Amino acid sequence: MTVAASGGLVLHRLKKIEIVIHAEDRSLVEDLLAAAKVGGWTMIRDVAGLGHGGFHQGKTIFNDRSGLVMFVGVAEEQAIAEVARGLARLFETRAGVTFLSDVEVMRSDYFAKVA
Amino acid sequence: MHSSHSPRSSQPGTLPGQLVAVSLWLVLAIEGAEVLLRGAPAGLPPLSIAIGALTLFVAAVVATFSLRYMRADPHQGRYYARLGLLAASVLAFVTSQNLIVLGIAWLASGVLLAALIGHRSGWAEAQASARRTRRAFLIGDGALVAGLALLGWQAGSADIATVLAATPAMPATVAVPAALLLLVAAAARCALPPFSGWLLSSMTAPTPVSALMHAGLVNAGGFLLIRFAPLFEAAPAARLAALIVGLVAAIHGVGIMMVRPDVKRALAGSTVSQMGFMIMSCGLGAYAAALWHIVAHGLFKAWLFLGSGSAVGMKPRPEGRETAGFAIPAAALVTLVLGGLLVLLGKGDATLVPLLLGIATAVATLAGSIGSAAPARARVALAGGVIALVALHAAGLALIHRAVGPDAPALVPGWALVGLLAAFLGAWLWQQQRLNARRALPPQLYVHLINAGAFRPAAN
Amino acid sequence: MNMLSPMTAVDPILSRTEVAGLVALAARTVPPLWPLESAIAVNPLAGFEELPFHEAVAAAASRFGARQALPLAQWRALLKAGRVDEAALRRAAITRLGGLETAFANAGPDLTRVDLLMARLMHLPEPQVEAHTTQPSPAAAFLAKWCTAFFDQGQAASPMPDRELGLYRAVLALAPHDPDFRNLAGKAGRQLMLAVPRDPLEAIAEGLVAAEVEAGAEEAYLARFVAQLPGWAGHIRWRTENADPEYAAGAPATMADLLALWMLLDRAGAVPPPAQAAAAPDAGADLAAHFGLADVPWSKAFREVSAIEPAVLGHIFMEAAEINVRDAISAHLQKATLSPPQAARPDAQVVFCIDVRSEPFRRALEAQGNFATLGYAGFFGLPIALHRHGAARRNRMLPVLLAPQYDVTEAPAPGREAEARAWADAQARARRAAGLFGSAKQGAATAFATAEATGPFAGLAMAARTVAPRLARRIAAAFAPPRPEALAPQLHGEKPVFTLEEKAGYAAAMIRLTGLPLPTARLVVLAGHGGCAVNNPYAAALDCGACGGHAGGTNARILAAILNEGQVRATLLEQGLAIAEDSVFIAAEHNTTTDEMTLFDRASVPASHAQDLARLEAALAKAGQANRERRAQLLGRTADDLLTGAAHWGEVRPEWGLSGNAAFIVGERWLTEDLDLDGRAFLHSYDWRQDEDGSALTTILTAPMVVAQWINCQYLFSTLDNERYGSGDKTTQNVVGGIGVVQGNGGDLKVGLPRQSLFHDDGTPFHVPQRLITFVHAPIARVEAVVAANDILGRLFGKGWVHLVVIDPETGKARQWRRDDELAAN
Repeated sequence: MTVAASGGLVLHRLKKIEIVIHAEDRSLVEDLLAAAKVGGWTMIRDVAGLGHGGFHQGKTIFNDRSGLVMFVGVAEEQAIAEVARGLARLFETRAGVTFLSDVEVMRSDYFAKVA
Repeated sequence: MHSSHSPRSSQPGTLPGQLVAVSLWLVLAIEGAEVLLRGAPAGLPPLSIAIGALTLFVAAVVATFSLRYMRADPHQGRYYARLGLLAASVLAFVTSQNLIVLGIAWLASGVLLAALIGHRSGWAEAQASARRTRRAFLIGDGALVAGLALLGWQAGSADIATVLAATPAMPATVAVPAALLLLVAAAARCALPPFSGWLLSSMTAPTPVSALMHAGLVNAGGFLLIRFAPLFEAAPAARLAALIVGLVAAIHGVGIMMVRPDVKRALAGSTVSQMGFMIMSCGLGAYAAALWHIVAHGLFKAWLFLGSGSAVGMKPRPEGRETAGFAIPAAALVTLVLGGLLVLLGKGDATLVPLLLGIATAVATLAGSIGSAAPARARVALAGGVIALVALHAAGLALIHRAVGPDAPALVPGWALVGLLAAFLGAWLWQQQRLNARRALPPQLYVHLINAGAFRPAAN
Repeated sequence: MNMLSPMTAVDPILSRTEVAGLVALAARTVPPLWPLESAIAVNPLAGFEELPFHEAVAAAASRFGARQALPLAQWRALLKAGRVDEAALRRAAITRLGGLETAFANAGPDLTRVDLLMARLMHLPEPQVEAHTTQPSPAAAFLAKWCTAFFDQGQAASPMPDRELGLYRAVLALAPHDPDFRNLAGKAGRQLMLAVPRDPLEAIAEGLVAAEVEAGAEEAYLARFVAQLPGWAGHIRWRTENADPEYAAGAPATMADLLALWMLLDRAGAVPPPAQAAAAPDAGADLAAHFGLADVPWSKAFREVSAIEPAVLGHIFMEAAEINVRDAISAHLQKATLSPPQAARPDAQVVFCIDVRSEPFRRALEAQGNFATLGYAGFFGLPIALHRHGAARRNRMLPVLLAPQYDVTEAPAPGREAEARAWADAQARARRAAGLFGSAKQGAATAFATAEATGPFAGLAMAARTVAPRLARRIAAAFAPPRPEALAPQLHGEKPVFTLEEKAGYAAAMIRLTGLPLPTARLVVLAGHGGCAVNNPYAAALDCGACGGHAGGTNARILAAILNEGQVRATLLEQGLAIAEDSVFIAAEHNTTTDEMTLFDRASVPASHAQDLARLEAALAKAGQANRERRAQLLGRTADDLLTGAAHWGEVRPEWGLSGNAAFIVGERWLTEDLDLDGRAFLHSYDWRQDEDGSALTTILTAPMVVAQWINCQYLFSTLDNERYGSGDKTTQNVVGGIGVVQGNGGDLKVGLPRQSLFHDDGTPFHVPQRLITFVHAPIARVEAVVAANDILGRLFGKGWVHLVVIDPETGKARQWRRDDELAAN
């Protein structure tokens, strides 16, 4: 892990992975992230905009498993590479996209591996 | 859009079922009225009446229950015929005054029970369970036939009263083998080790059959020991064997019950334990206590089996401790001291162990109901309930005691009874301490218990 | 460094993430299995839904060792009973043969193809092809034993040791002591036991290498193991994907744990290779004999019919049953749509759940007077979890497609605290007594006296419950009274559960989705539903599926309370939704076993509405009586006996549940008002004129209809093969771990429904196994747009899992969805 200094802040260089996948395949990605011991991640529902046109429309969609979701995970490069390796196989049969990027975070302990 | 309509009947069940159920209730009512009004027929001991009434009652309940429960069974004619014949055969051997009739009816009941365990004819596991039962009964029934033949030959009569009158004069070389043979027969029916397997793997039987089996059939062993009490009194070695086998079964069965994750086989483990305790009481000579146990446990277990469909529902762990921490050691200590005192005072008779375990139960449960976090009113109600049950229990025991008559002469000295008591209390303390600390059993023991009576089709 | 390390050099051993992905995919061979206390219907073939229906049935049959169709003998019995008719069967046969021309082409002396096929369908003996072994392999029995012990939820007093290590490692720890393991795995197993990785994912990776599984074949290899214990595997899926985390506390387990154990046994040579299904014999000789032909004709046409797989014959029957239902409903809807009625304000509007059991009750109620009924999902759109007063865990009161967004607690209603307290006291007492009894009957010193002391009481209780169940229930209620109405869901505690906007949103959702005619009637009843069964492991299967397998009264109470709030009504008015000022909303619960209707919170109904309420109550009672009478006919019993059965501890069929379900109708009630749907249709109210953008239709088809499809498939497959996809005979079931049932002494956790819920006493099916037919009353273009925008609908309609018929409101024409993703003329 690289540590960079910028304007007095200590920043830690990590990798970010973003995964867009059908909501019904959510658990697949969750299992991969757990297997790579990525300690935490964020999930955004209905990224296609389905149902988010307004409050009412969002609430009348009675099915969490339709539409697309996006996962955002930040961790050390090795763990993210692990996730990407698993995803590559998964996407042989399932639809989905992945983005990897470098990020800098302020508190590296937030993104520590889980035991 | 048309659905099919079934022919309608105002009563559930098929004709054979209704016939059997009604007949059982009628026989129970008529025979019951006769005994109550005119007294027991000559030569019929209270033992026979009690077990006969129990069997009839449970069979009648089970048959009536089955009218709904078995409504979709494709072989109801066969089912009810066997159920009725089973009740009749038990009735025949408990009331029989003749060795030959007793033997034949006993054999018949075993054949019928095994057939009911294999009631689902297309199911390989059910057929294998039935075969296993038959094999266990073959040994037990062989022993019975040999034992009865030996007695009949020795007494020169097939009349049970004559045989029993002759037993005190029999030489030990006859009395001991005969008594041991009857003990083997009893152990096979009571599913005591090493015969527990058939009962522990008999869940292929429809639920009502299990209810009848655990209430009416497994008791046969106890019946045999009490019916032939004079023989056993003439063969103390056999009584000692009964005591030991019973003790082992009682403790082992509790272990099996504790580890079972399925409701029916947990009940079966409990039955092994209860039958062990009952046979142990017979060995000690506490006939009244044993008979009362047979009757009350039969009702208790049939009720639990018929209600076993209610066990759905996941209980959160950890569950609150049901008995306050101090209650169990305190109850154990009080019981043990009381036992010691009674023995010192020379009151250590055969009933000592069952009686004092009853006291330990009452003390621990009362302490549990009073020393709980429940509101005061609830605690009073609970304690009242416990006291009522204790009173009911005591009354039942006293009634049976009066009917059955005196216990056998002491088999073991008073200090040994206290030792026996201590064995139960010790096992209890260890068990409760483990449960309260939520500590699992040692792996070897756990695996042994969970595999007890395991059904291994290949090995059978 | 900005590049990831190159991934071209493939390690022979898969990484943990790769294995995790494979395991997750293989896990989908089985659907999650909900515990019976909150039973949820699922499609046992959910993992095969990407295949066309018939292919999926065949693939699943080979994977699970199941049948592909109901036996012909059963279908013929249904034909004889008039549940399928011969004309429809002939039509289905003709379609299957490729149309009129091929069907009526000559296939032998004076014989057409359809003659031959009809003979095979109706007369020829059924070929025996399926070797149906119900005996699990010893390896499966071994794993089932340890799954049963591991997943126990409080049945055993002494739990399995080392559960906190996870399923895989806990079994590894015990297996050395287990003679079953030694017998199964032998010396190889003992050695492997010491050498295998302790991490299940790594163990699977190593196992895949050891078993020389080819790249690309891993998922299928693992799926085979998942399919061998579908019950326990499904339980794992429920636990990891659908349960609150506390259920797994102290005993974690994933599908990887189970698969790592399977691989260990497989590596030790303890898993037999999969059996190959035998091919069905050609029916040529039988056909020739049937038609009195001396020789078997060798014509191509003859061969084509004689070689048809037996499973296909079952499918033709199924299609015939579907034609019967489709034609009957379609014809009626086409006619009805052309004569819409004049709207008048009814005396009351009653909103029921879409459940098929609501339909006959609604019809019975409508017959009692000027009452209008509607259908809406029984959770009333509220994504809540309910913390019952005195319960240790929360109940999810919503369809399993949704995660709860609000936690609602139950508390004494204001002014009724004493009532609630009395109940709570009784409850505490009963629980305490049960606890004392439970621990006394397990104690090594106390078990004996406990049996003796409770025996006489048990004898009395047993006799009473058997001979006089209704009396026994009344007596029992004195000790453990039923949950009183005084305990109400609390919306305005320290922190309100919903904001005003949210409340208005849920109210508006119901109005928009159902097209509830405005202004509303003086009384509007929201009726949830629940079943009533005693000593019945499947009791929850009679409750409301939309409420997560619970009775739905609470959800109704919440929405009724919301709709009675002045502020909510004002907000709705701003949105153009006018609730009449004199409207009062009342919550109710329909008991589907007894057809009694409980009205909640009657005290809050103003005096001005007392007469309206009295009239409605009288009508509800009459409707209940009429419907009970109708259902008693179907059950072959008297109406009074249904009330007895609901209280009897030996009753295995208190009601038919959702048996018979066949259709899902989306449209206004007047379309179906004059049609007796015989309790076979889900009815969702919908007004196409109020749904310009199709969003309401989207919601209806992607949520309630999907749930209806799960239910339909559960009933279909549980009937088709009751041993594999159902739970078999109830009388030999054995409750395990508080979770579910096994058959007899043990084995896999049973999935699906028991035989008694689907079949008559004489063994013929009551439920006709057929696919759901969805009817939508909406413009064709709108329906096409909705289906196109939602993958799941394309899959269900396009792959033949659900039939779709659209009734165009303007023309009254019916169009049927074809495989090629368009609506064709019917």
